[in-house]
Amino acid sequence: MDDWFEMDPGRRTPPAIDKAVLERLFAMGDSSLRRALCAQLRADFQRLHQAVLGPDGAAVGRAAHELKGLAATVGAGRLTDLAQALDARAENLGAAARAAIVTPVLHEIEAVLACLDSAAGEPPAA
Amino acid sequence: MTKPLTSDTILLIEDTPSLQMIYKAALNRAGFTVETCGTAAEGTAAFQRLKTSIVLLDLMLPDRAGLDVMQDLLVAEPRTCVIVITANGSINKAVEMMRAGAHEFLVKPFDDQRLIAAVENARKALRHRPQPLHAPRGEAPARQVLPPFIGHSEPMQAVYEKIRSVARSMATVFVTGESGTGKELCAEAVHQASARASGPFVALNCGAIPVDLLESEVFGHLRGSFTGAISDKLGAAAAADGGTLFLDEICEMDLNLQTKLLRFLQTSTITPVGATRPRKVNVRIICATNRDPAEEVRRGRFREDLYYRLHVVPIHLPPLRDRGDDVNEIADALISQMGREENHDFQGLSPRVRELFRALPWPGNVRQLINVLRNVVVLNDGPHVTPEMLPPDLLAIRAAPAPAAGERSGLSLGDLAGRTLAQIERIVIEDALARHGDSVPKAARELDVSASTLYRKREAWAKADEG
Repeated sequence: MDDWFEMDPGRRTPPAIDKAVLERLFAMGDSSLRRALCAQLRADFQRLHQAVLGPDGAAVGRAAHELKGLAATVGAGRLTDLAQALDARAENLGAAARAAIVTPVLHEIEAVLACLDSAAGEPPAA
Repeated sequence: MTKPLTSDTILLIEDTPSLQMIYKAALNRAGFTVETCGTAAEGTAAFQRLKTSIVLLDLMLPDRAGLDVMQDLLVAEPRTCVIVITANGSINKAVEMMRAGAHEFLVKPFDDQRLIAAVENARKALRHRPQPLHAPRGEAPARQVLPPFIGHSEPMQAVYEKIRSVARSMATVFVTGESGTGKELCAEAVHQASARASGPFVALNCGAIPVDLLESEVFGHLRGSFTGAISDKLGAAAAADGGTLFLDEICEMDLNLQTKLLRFLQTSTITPVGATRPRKVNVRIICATNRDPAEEVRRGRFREDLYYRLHVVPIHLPPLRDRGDDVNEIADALISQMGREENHDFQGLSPRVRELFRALPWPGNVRQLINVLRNVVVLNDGPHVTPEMLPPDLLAIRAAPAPAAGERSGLSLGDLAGRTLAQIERIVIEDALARHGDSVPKAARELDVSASTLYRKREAWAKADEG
């Protein structure tokens, strides 16, 4: 089960979340922390998924900033980079230009959510 | 995992629920009790209720900027250790936070060990942190720091006390001190400790703005009032309505504009350029200069009536060389943070550098110290700053102290005899520039005037030479 973060092993895409980072977070508590944290992370990423779709550039920037910090903490490196790019530019871009940056962010959030679903069902590391 | 030094509750103010959960789990596992809050309002209320001595504070909160929250907490309880958490890892932000009184600055992501280490460091610092000024009767009050300043020296204690006292009043404050001693920081500290803290703080450097534009910058202008006035402009005085207006390098202000400033102080009204009707504004004035204002009055360069109007509460900031071990305290506060930002592992200063820092004259004061530290961190790896890492020109200052007046270069009093005062001024300035490789800032520092003064004088001489 080493590849439970691998979305498509055949294409050798890097994982959306670094398993080691997430396991280290889970290891700070018992099994209830794993369940609770997965559920909370899921809720937060879904909330931010909605937030970056908003019409207000400044609000999207704030959401991207929050997303950057959260993604970095759970080891979602690709999402961290995408969120950082959005954080830096959201406020100064028009809706169309912003959408071009937001779209890959949305896709990556979905990949992260899928990883979290796998992680939630995974037995704790020995 | 090490046990905490005490069992005080730690206040965590972080708006992302997952991160709250992660940080809390890490701290709980290390034996700390944690109270979590998701907004500035909840956090401030919890702080008042729990009286926590350590606060983990996210900088970007939904209802208020974390910086403002931190300043409120530190005003309420200056001994609080605030550990700032942010996803913005710029060095400017870190320096801004440390100057504003943060104990430590954590950039996301950080692991549980880093978090626990920051909290443990805060606990250790609290053990050594001085008690509040309200010491038991008969005991001398312990030395304290007034954020955003750093330094426990005796001269700064007097400054902190004066800032606290004057902040409670509306009195005009006149800040003096050499370049780089923190005059704007002092003005901000007065503003932040005053009842106007929630209002704007507007700073204007009178020496950096051309004379022709200064009136418009201070009082604003109406569209079409002069060539280039393509729209209405709100001046600094109006922008500071309800707050504080800080006029830096006030002695650079043109005499005509000094008259208008005096009228503004007497009537609390402003008349923008091109306007016919004055407007009432409610502004507290703080001004500063690196010159001797009384001497400027004697020389006729500063209006005496304005001087007395402004010089209600003077605060003199001591030069860094007179602040004892503050130089090392400031360096300690900044070096490890700068190291983290530059990915260079710096933990502190070597004993030799500490000794050297105490002995240096620091003509550029704290600003020079910050630049030296940045230079060291960017160009070297730690863990300790050694003399070899210091910029050579810094060591040269020590090796060759500034010559006394009359010993400078080839100039002698005989060379100046028979010349006008204006000619002598030009000779002296050009001599200083020549000795500093045409560096205006260095020459200005030596002559104890602002760089903008020298730029203006050079421009005037060039025009006169052409004419």
